[in-house]
Amino acid sequence: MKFLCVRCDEAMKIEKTEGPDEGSLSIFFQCPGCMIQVALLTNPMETQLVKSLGVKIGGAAVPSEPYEQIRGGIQGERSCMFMERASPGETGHPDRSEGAERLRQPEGSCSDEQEDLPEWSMEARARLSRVPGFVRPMVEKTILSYARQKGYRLITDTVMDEAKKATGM
Amino acid sequence: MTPKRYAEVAGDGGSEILSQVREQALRLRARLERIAHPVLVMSGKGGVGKSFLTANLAAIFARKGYRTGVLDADLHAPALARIMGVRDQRLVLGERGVHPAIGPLGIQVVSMALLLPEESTPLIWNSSSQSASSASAWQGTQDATALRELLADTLWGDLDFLFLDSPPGTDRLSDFVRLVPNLRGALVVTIPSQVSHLVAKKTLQMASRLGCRVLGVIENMSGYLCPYCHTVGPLFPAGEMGGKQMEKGLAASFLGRIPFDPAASATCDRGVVFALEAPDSPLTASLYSIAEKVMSVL
Repeated sequence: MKFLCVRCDEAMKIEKTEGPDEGSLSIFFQCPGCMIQVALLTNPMETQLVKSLGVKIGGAAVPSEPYEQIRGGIQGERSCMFMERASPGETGHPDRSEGAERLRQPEGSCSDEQEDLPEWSMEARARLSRVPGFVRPMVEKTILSYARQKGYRLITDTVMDEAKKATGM
Repeated sequence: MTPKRYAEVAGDGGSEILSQVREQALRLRARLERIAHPVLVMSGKGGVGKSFLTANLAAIFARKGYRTGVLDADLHAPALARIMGVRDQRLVLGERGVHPAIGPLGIQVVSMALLLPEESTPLIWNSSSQSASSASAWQGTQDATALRELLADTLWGDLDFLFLDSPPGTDRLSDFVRLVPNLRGALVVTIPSQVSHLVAKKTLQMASRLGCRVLGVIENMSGYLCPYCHTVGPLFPAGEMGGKQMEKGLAASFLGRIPFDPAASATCDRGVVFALEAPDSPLTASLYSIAEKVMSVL
């Protein structure tokens, strides 16, 4: 939807958005030529329709959070819907003993390496903190690399033991 | 002088909606690019066993060594969290996305059931508009947005297969086609009844209209597996559309039949994947056969 100042034949610019107030949004436009202002006022259904698209009129100041619409939209959501650290033992990856290569997604096709970093369980993080400081970065890097290679999403004590055994640390 | 028309006015008037929609699309695309084979599991009617098939196919592919995930796209009647035995897990929220629940053999699982307090809790969206009559105007959009977020904001990583368990019917098919441009195709599940076959044909036609490739048709509950003599007898009357007629009447590949086994239904309730618990069952053999055919058509 665009607003045109008929007098100036110019597109009006959005100035500000207010609300929702009692379910209504007020969106203010101004003509850059003659400075005339108009306001678009939405009814609750129209407000909800815009909200359900997951967009904000006037732009979003920050990128949306993961699952932002879902988290903000569910009525009666589960308490502690998310957790920062999953319980130990939630790692696991299938045995890749067979499978046609042509059907596989290439390894290392990640365009953002940071996104692939596994999380650490509280116990594993605590255990890492007990490693002497001068070798800790190397140990952390080795374990992270091992966990990523194995496809583990969470580094637990078990994963650390595995990495230690596999890498000879 | 004729005022400018819509297309003649540059930009979007400052609403920034187009740029936000583009950003959403880019985010989704970046996530889906790392999934080699997204496959939709759909049906015309409900209760034909889509979720059962999704869970078991995922388990078979994972057993074969493929990195596999399942998305329970039936937002209002999610079943996969229970069937995959992950109902008690919490999703892990990270800065760049949400880590899925982990099912058997490391299968990644995302379901609305993991976000609702009880399994019997319906999905109701908060709304500034309390009118039930106006809800129909925006609920479909809200559902589509939620589906987009489940796809785009989940840290699936590099997957070989992502099975999307669709709600019954073709209402959401256009959303899947739009949201998942690299969709490899759809598996259409039916049962051996005239009504179900007719609806399956409608589903195939709708898929064709929307440009969604159908990988094949699977007939579930195709006979009753007797637990005593282990033979398969008819469960539904084999009328005009039953049996071999099903194969002949299709405009798509017929991938196979799965017999009805009461034990299979019980595993769904217990949160155990049947193909893993009963690897020697004739039902599991039929699932493996279908999985092989799916791989061959991909």
